[in-house]
Amino acid sequence: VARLYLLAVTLNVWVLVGILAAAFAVQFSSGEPPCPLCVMQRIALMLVALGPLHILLHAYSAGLTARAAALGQGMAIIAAVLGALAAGRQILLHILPSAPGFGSPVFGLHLYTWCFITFSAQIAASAFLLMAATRLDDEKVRGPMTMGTAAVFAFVVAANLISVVAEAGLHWNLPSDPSGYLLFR
Amino acid sequence: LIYAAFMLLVLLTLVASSREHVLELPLFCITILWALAYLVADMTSPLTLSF
Repeated sequence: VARLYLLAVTLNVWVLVGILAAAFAVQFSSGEPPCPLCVMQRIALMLVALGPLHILLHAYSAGLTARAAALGQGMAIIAAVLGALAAGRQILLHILPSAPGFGSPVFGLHLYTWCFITFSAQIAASAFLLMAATRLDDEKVRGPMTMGTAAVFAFVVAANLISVVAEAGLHWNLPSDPSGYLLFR
Repeated sequence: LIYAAFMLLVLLTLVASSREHVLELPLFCITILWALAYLVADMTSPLTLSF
């Protein structure tokens, strides 16, 4: 059970890292720098990933415990609620029938709508894994590729950090409808 | 640069988590609350973000 649990948690992190990487790819392939609310949703995705990463890193150093699992899933749920708030806010800003929405749609839906779906699914998945944590006994098991997973996540966060600094320049906030990278102007 | 600060806090939380440091949870809570306050401030003021 413990190994299966850690596999599910590792998969959770990789899905989140994949979404962050895909958003990064869309940013450069379509030449659309992310808007402030899009960046907030990326930050919420990063905060969500910290929950399962807490479980993986705790298991790596001290073994898997139900306490660590409960704490990590709680962190993920709280961050997912924050992300759903940001995505919901952006959906509501563009909800009028004639509104074209913000940015290019991907598979028929805008990225903020995909984000709302992702955060909702994350809340459900974390709640399920929280219930599953009651079945865990304290065990000395490690997740697959824990340090590699954490390193890739850190790389994606650092890349986003550099990108957002380039986009904002030396300004505290981003423009509401960004069209380029202010650091290079 | 506020977004860079949020991401820096995420990285710091990850480092604290990897070292089982006592500051992991406080850093996570500070980031969540700061981001929430920023979002709510935007929601309750004239439209500024992404419009």
